[in-house]
Amino acid sequence: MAPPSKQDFINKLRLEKFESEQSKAEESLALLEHIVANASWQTGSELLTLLRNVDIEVSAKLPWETTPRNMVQRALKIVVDEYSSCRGGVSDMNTSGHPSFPQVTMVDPTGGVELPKCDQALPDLRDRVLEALAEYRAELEQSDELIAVQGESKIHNDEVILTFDWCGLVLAFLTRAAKRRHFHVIVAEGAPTYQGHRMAASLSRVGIQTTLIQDCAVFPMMSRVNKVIIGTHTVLSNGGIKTDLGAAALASAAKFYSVPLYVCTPTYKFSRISGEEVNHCGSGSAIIPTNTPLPSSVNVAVSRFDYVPPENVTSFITNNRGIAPSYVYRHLTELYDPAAYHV
Amino acid sequence: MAEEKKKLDKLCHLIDNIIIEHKNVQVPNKDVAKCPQKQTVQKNLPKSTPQTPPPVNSVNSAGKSREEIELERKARKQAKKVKKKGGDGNEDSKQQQTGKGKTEDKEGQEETSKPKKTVKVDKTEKDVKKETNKPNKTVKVDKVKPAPTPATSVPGKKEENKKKTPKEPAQEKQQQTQGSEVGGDAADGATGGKSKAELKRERREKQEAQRLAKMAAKTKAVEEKQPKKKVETHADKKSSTVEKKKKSLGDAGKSGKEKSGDKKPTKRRIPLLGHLTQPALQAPPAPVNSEIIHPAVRTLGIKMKDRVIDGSTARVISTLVALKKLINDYQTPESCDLSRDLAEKLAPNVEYLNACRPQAVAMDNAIRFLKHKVNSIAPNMPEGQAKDELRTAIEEYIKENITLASSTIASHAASLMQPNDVILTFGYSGLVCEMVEAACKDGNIVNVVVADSPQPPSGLAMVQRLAGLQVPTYYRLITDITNVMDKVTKVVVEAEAVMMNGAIQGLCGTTSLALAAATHHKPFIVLCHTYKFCNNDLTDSIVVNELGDADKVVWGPKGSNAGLLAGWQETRNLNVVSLVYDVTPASLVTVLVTEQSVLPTSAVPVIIRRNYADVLGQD
Repeated sequence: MAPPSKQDFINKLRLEKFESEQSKAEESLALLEHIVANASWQTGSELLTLLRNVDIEVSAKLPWETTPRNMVQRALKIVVDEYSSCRGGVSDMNTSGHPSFPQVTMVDPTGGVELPKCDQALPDLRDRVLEALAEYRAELEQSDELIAVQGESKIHNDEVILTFDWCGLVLAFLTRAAKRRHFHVIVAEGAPTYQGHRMAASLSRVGIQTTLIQDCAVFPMMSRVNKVIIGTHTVLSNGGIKTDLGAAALASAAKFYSVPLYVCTPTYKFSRISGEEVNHCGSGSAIIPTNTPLPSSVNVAVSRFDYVPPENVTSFITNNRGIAPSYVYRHLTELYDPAAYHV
Repeated sequence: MAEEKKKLDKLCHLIDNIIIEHKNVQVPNKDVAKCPQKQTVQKNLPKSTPQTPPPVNSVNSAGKSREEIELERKARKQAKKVKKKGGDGNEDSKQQQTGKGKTEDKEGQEETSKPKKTVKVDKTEKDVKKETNKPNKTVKVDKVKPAPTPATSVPGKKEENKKKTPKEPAQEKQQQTQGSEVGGDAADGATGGKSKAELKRERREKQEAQRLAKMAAKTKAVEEKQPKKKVETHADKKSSTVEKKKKSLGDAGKSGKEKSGDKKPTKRRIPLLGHLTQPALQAPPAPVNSEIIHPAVRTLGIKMKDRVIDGSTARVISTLVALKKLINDYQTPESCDLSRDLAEKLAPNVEYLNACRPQAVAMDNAIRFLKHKVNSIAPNMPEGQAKDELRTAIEEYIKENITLASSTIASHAASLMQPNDVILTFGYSGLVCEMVEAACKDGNIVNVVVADSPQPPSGLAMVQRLAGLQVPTYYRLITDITNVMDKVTKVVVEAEAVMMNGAIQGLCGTTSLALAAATHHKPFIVLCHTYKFCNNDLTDSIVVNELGDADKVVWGPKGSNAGLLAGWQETRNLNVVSLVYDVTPASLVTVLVTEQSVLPTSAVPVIIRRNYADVLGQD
């Protein structure tokens, strides 16, 4: 197998050749491991710069692909942690070992934040970083399982669960729960990608009673739904989510009927970007039936993402535990180094 | 005495020949078609001759003339009977021939050991030779009286009719066993007893035949219950019978699927929506010139079922026009009250429309109005005058409540618009188009964003109409509206019906717009004719709704996800649901624009009481 290269990775991202976010995460981790293992660097700072370059390049070309960027941020954090533990734990941390409060809350909005200084050349830094990355990889691969296991504790018998679009995690979650519980699932089809059809097919194959509905019927059906469980593309730092089209309508309806909305997400989707500012439009031809030409004066477009504000989300189901949207900011400090963020 | 003896001999020969007839060799079809009886007779002779050569010959030479005449007479009778049975007779005889041919062959194979059988084998060869001969010779050679043969051949045919199942081997076996049965008897009678083994074998064959006959009868009964059973009456299409029946059983063609589709929803319950009727795939049966269902109504029913006429306003107008035609063509029978009789005549037509596609609330109201009008016709009014009155009532109803009302609503709504407003609307709506037109005339250019659901994409027609008005138009999916809401200033929608509690019934998807409007603090304006107000109070969209065509949802997506769920009706765990209507709670509606004026939703029961109390009544 050819050694992973940045260019290849970015091209692959661009051409949307990954089947899921999980595979993106794994491949970006492979790229980072490769850089750590093989690139020429002496000090921690050089390594940090190298890693951050990946982040910069990806964000320049594909700013909405947050998963690779999150992986880079995590790797940066790992490097910084390993460096400080190598050096004997001397760093600008509090005595309790947590980053100080200003560090947590204040991110320099102008960007170009300086990376923490790790100037000492430590011989075993490389090995230790690689080891830590390997641990992280194991955690990544287990995240599916860890999330699915929580299914039983969230669903009771004879529930009606609403989901939408395709998400492998949600599928695993529901499949696992279906072994011990009997419930119905309603799937919204999720135009214009219509991945909901795929989800409905998979769920019915597993033996779960499934009903496919159109997106416009989400509000009518919501009055009878007990829970909404969806996946996401990105979790924003304010606790909101950025995901496929249709989620916002779904979440609003859930809020209207006071139906809890759970988001199944592994930790690598937690991102430091705050708002819904990055959204782009796709070709309108996706939504027009092939044989009806519309007059050219009509503006047709399809957005890529939908933003769900944090007040509509009840809780995030992650590897370790459930996280409330209001607590996401704190979780981010555990994952990423506050100073290493590049806007 | 000699003559009596001869008669006895003849009778014996007859019996022999009757028995042997069932074992006759296969005859080419054409010959059979022309003169079945003669050929059977023809065959009989060669068989009988080797068996009992001397008496046959002697009889042959002696009593030709009388026998000949009798034979001819009976041949004619037989031919007549065969003609009466027509195709059946031909097929039966063909079957007889083919079956017998096979039985004969099988018999020949079976009984090769014994000399009689070899004789029989010879017989077959002779039969074949004889068959190739033209039937001309048969009359003279014939000795056998055809009279008994019809009787025996008829039951034979009947049996074969009964056992006319696609199982060829079964038939063969049956005939074989028949033949062997008969052959056994004949052999017994003629030659004086077969061995025990032979008898046992024949008995076993009989039992086998009976068992197969039973099974065949069962399968036949099952097939008769099948929706599309084609009764095959042609023996030479046996194989095609098999194929056709297999096709009708296993076909995924529309008719079969419809039947199974019709059965399945009653057997399986869609969670939450099991009480809603599945969409009619076929219009209820009604002959074209039925006296009960007017042809205009029938045409309309089919159009509505196929969604050629869609949208509550269009449906109401077309229903009233069709009923007007019915009233035109109506003639009061003697000694009948026009009002009562016409009401009775209207009822099945309305039911027919309902069966084609469940009635919209607006249609319901319009028909109630008509019934009310019919009921209020005085008994002594002359027919012509009554019909005129009804006709004008209908025309006025349409004019007042639909045509004029629409323009009033449009102008009321346009007065709410401001220049450079961005309006969000859903799907195709005639009223909204009229409103936009009126606004443009007033000088307020509005931008319109049309949100549309993928199935059915009614918004495309809307966009085309708006583009024709030179209005900046945007087309978005219903899932995309939250991204547009920042720029939108007002949300305007047309209602299918308004409930007494202020809830709005609209096409499925309007509630998403209502919710988005509420979330982003934009006004949600509903346009509605007052005749669509109804006395129902709905709080959700599930109790009263209509199911749309689920297959459109399955095949809607482009690309790899199209048709993923194509087998959903057979899959137990999977349902695909397409709702037609949804109900927006009154709390999400800012204002209701009617031809009376711009109203809050709490004014709905007031209007009902004021204008429609007599029509809508106390139900």
